[in-house]
Amino acid sequence: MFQKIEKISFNIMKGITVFCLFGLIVLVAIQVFSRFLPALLKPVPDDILNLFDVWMIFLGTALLLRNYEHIRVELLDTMLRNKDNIRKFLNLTIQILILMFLVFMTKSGVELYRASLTRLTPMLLLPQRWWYLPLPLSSILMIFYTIVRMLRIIISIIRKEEG
Amino acid sequence: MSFLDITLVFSVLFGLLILGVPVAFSIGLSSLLAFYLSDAWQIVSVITQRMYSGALSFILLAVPFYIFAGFLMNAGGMTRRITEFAQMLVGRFTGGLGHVNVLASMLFAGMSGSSVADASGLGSVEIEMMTNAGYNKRFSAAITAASATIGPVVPPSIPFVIYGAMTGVSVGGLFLGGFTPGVLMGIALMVAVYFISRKRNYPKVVKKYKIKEMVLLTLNGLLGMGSIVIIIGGILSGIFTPTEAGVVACLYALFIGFFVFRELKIKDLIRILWETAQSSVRILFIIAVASAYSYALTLMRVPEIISSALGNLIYHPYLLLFIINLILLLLGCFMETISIMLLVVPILIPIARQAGIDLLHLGVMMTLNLMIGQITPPVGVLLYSVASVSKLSLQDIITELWPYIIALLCVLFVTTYLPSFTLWLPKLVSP
Repeated sequence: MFQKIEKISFNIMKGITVFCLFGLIVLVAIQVFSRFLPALLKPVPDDILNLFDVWMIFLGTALLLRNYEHIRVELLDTMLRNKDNIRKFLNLTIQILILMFLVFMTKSGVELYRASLTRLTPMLLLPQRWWYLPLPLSSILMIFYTIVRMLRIIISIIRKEEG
Repeated sequence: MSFLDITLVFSVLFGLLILGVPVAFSIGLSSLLAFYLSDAWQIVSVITQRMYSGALSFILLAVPFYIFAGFLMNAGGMTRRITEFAQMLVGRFTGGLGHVNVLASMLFAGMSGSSVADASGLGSVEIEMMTNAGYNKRFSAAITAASATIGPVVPPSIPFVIYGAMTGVSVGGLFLGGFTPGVLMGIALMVAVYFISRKRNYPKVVKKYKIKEMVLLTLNGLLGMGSIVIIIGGILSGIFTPTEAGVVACLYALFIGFFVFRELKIKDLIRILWETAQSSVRILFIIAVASAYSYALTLMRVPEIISSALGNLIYHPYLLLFIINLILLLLGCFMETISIMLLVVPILIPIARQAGIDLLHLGVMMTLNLMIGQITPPVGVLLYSVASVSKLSLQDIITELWPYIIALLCVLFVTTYLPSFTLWLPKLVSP
């Protein structure tokens, strides 16, 4: 059940990320063509581009962490290929360090989001909260994914010891 | 902030990187430490604010667009046609398919700004073709990895876009500056292929082409080169910005894939968009965090401290360039291009300015250097890509790679010490 919900939510967020990228391509294309067809197309305000951009980057970042696909140096992983237990403890340490940064990111992300509640965007005068929402949202998601990974590592360590 | 504190911050950063903490989180954690040690903890939320503003750069939108264009070209059937066109042009020389491999990478470089897209896209076609023709598989994999380094030096280039966004150097100028070194990289690799092939008696491609076939292959090749003409032409004529040129290249690739070659399907688009989003976000999130890191460096007064520590070195630009190259090559053995660029550019730029080094020249030199890092062990992104495509071990590929690394180092030497070699084209176009 938990896995099913997790998978559905992942697919929804994946859909939003892909939609944002597609939206950016279409909007920048409109921006280019609006110069040649001013009567037909209007230039796209930066506010809209920023909205798509920020959602794609921060939501995409969270989804990358779910699959642990962020760029990292894998030197120690390769060196410890045959030392399963040490590698698991190393991995657990890495997750704790990631979690530390994510807790900070969530705290300051929430602060920025709360500060944006009363502000409007410079060009379209829309509520800025939609622009800042991806910050706390993605960091909370990343905390969730990191904790799940930590639990998996701990369980695999315990099972191995018991076995 | 004392020198000891700065050393501590950098030690923590490199410690975390070696430990295997993802690059973005390593930078973020060391930036937090920098704020703490600088007695600036009360304004630490600046880090997140900087991450947010760092992510919102119009010029950096070019990153997903160039990646998307490259993926579309791969999926749209351009890869195979470029290889056939290259085969017609250089297949008849000794070690024919080795040359084809290099030339195809040079042509593909004009469509995609990513070397990994080159290695994984073209690589699978090239390695299979070379192995079937009797070439040693290790040789085929090694030249595939080496030739993929040309991608980000020949325009369009993702590292150039990032460097331009960080330093304010014209991205169009960087694109033009990379052109000559990129071509020389191709020539140097072809020379290496020639000597190795002659020694090992590798075959030439003995295929007779009919006129009709030659015309068709040439047209296909020219269609591939169309995107570089659009990008460079559009930027230089002032019609588009580099970001907009990226979107126009995407539209061009869509048009070619759907209507000319008819190999692209609507259902492929969702998959390609998702792959593009993943590849782009991987880079863009690091850029966002690196924006906070730049602020932390300024807070720690690192550029000033390093400038004064280097002392007289700024009066000897050639020696300074040598040291910069050495450091970048060393870092390149352990980290990937964009991460190194984001870490060192904020430190190097003030020093290079003081030493009178042209920043456009530095950007091209740095990118070329970091591309070599992608094929040097133990951590070379291209080594992993090619190993995965060829199903060979890293060790197998590395043993065959050294002649190409030496050839590329020669190009790096020329690019470093003959700035006019890089700068003549940008100066010719916009004096």
